[in-house]
Amino acid sequence: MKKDKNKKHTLHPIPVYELGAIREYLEKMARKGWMFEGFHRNLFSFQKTALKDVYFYVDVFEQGSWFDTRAEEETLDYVEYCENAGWNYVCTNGKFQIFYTENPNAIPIETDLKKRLSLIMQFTFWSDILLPLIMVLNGLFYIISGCYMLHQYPDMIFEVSGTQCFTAFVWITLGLVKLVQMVRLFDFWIRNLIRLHKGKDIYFHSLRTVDVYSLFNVFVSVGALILSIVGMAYIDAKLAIIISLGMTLVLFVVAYFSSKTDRRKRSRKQNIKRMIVGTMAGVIIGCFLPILLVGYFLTGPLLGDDAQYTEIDENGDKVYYLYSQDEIPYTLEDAGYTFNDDGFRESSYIVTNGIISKDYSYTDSYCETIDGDWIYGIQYEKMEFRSKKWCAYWLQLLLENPENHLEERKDIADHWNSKTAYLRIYDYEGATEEDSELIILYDDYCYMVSMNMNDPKLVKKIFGSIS
Amino acid sequence: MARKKFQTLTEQMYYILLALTKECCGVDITESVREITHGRIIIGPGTLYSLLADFEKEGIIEATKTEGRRKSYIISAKGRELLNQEYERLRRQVEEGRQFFEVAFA
Repeated sequence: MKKDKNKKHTLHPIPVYELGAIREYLEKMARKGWMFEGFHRNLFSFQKTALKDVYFYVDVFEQGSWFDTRAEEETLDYVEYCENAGWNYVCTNGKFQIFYTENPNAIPIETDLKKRLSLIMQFTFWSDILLPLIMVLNGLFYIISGCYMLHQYPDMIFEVSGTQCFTAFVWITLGLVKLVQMVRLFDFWIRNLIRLHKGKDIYFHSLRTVDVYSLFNVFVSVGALILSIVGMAYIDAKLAIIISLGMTLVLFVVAYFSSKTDRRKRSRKQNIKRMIVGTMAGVIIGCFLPILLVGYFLTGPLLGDDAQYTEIDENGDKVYYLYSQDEIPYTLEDAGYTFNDDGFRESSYIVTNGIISKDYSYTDSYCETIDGDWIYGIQYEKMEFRSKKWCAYWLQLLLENPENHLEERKDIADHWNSKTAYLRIYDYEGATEEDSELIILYDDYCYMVSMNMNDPKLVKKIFGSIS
Repeated sequence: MARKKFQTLTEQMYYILLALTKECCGVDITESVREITHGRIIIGPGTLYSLLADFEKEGIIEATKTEGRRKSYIISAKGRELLNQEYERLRRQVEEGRQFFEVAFA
């Protein structure tokens, strides 16, 4: 496609309430010979012009709608008033109306400054107050719940998957970025309320200040995303990386098509229809595409798994449901359970890519009806720590946990740094031997087996296979 | 609600209503106000449009005719009463202030 040399598109992130910086930017471009034509979010369009000394006015029109991409009837009436006062209409985008004049002494469009400030604050409510507030609360939720969890159950840090950690990291970072954005907006509002009270004009930050802030915003957000992807690569969470890159790609594609389609000026009604259809399509695609892609194609054939089927659980861990019990080290039969085959049996293999450990967990479960509770279950778990120190720390937490009812504690304490040791835990009040958990430390790996420990043959079998 | 909103008129509101004591086209009100106040009060087109919409909604002014996008207005009985009240309030303020000023600057 041939590029039109008389047209120019620039990406320039400016917060929507910084009307002074937007005006300054448009005037700067005009001085360079580029006349503003229209914009979509942060994408500005210009056309070559001979006009140099033009003055812009970025106006917020109360009766405009967020769905306006062209002037509606009431907007045209409004434009008539502004044109009569010497302003030339350029474009409409949402509640924004942009005008220009060559007369430096033209009457400002809004002379009631209290009204102007109130309109700016009203129209930033959704974009700069409510949505950022949700993101800040979301980030706070991650921080508070994380701190509470680690305070109450320090050993939970070994059970958190890397995907969860990096997701939390990205959300917390975005929450902090939005918090800074909200503080800046609050500062803008209070400062200008005081200024108006003193009879002064509304103060907007200069384009330079806004550019520095926007650069910080982009740097922190993109940096967080890159850091999380590098972190996931470090812990070998391939699936999480594929999901992250896929989601980023989807966002770019949506933004690209959105900017393309928004250049076609549609009526408010058409835009509302488009928004409803787009949201529904987004929900359908957003719900089903990851299930189709991630749940089937990616976790199955692409990642080289021959399990019956695979899925991603709520923690972002990869779960393989196995064809047969031959694929797991210890079955219910090994644990001495007897049952008929009328019920539902499920064997799975879960890989948790944590940031400080990698956990491989085999489960063999059986229930009498498909909707019933699991009545038998055996779990065999192997933990691979990323550092020996983490392994020692994990064992220490187990030993110090007053909720654990320990047996043969001396054994493991004596072999703290030895190649082989074992520990039996009844992990809740009133638990019997049948509910106990056997922890085996061998060659810097931890093996945990939850099952019936009364069977000496089984314990021997486990030890035999490990050592 | 309306009474509270327009209980005390701002300068801009007051002069718009004064200009509309004669039928006037909306877009020409800025010029009328400029003439009445000898250029002291200037009303931006955005502010004017918004105030006219509020006044019409509250029945303070009435639309008389529409030519293309140009709409003419005139003050209503309710608006006249509001303007009178404001005029009386301002007159009383000046009266009450006068004796103090006359003493202070005598």
